[in-house]
Amino acid sequence: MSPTHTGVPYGTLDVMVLASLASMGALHGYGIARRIEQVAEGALALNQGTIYPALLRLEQKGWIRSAWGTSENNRRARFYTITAAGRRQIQVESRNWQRAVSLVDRLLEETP
Amino acid sequence: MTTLRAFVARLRALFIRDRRLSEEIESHLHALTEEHRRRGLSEEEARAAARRAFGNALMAEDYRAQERLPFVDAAWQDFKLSWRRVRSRGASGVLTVGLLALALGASTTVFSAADSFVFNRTPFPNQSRVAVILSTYPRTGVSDYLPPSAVAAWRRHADIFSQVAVHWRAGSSLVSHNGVTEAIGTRLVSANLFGTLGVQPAFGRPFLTADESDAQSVAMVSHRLATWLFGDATQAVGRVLPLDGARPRIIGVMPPSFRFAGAADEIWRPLDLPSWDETSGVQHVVELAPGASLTSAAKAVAGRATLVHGGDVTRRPTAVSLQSLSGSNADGRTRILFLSLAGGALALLLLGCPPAVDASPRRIPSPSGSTVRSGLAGRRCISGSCPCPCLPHRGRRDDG
Repeated sequence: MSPTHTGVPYGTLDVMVLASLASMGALHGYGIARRIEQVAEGALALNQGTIYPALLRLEQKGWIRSAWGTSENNRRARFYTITAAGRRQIQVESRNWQRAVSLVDRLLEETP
Repeated sequence: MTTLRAFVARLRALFIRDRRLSEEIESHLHALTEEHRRRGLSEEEARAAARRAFGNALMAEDYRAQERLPFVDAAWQDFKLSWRRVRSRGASGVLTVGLLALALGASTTVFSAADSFVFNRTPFPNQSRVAVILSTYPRTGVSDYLPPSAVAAWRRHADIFSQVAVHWRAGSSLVSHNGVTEAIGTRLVSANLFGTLGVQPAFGRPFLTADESDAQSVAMVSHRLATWLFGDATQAVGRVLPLDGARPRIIGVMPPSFRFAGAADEIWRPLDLPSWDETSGVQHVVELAPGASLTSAAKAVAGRATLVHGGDVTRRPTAVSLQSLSGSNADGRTRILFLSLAGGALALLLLGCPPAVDASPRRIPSPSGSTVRSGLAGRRCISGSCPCPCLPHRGRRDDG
């Protein structure tokens, strides 16, 4: 297993998408994938197609909404924006993430 | 709330096909291809690189599973597969399905008969001579009650009816005992209803005509209710029924097996017909006159309905008919419910058929011209060298 090029940790894609939309505003699927890859700086092996089931899941939950628009290369694309409920969810996910990280940190610290 | 919203969205997707995924993928791949071309790749190489970056050949399947309700899709696929397999079997498939249907029908009949004769004995002896007069809306098939004035009118037709009784479901009464309050089904009945049904109280006396004008002071109760209230049903007669708001005296206790009108009523009180609102209908129960059959009485009712109901103040556009007591509950709503249940049973039957069809013996021609019967038709050939389109026998590859 390469230490510098890992898959998306289970359950984190949704929060990555939410955080991307919260910081960048309206983005289409390609834009979201590029944003995640840019932030990861090559440390993440993201299959870009997996973005779409996640987008649908978030939209069904009411955390994002979408509308058709025109991309920068003049093609029809669906743009996603975060909702107020989505912003609240980021806070929840952030707290959960901090808890999980601190738990794993504590366990690792006990390792000789 | 979030879960409910997601469920509604997925439910909606079952009926409204959203085709945006393919367009989004195309747009995404185009953007990726352009990106790789800017990095100096040829058109073909850029497209291949875009495909690799997009990855995940199963993504569309994941998306579909997220978009809709997978179990509904799976059930629909099973249904279509079952239908195709039954159709591909032709006559033998139809025969197998028919036999299964017959077997299921027979089982249902047996259990219904057992339920009727063993567990729920006929609740009153006069059932074959008792019928109901129904007022039915022709367009919907829904039954309505008849006006109370029709009682006196039909009682004059002694050649077809020896008795005409009425009843009306009065909802529930609250009965309190030992700190426990129960809502007990209550029915208002004319004094002659129990006589019309041919049933007598187990203890005490039935209603008399005089009780109808003193409806608030007397009541009859079920055996169960009497036992619950007084410990022994025989002790109930003459006691006060502890109703919420009224204190009628119990004059009779019905037999334990008595049930009427398909309802779990346990309190019966007199129906004061003269004071009954003419626009509020009541249900009519009749006992056929000696010598009158249900068919002849039904014809007479159909012929005389206009005469009897000509003065119906409600002016309802209904058809008046006579039905046996057992069939009178099959009103429009019940029929719809029954058809829904039958449809559901048919769908289940169809889903359950393919395994039965596959397991049915099938004749397979052998090279010598004779036939071989296989219990696993179409799965594995038992001879291995026959011209049928089955797979060679797994254990004997050399003879396939």
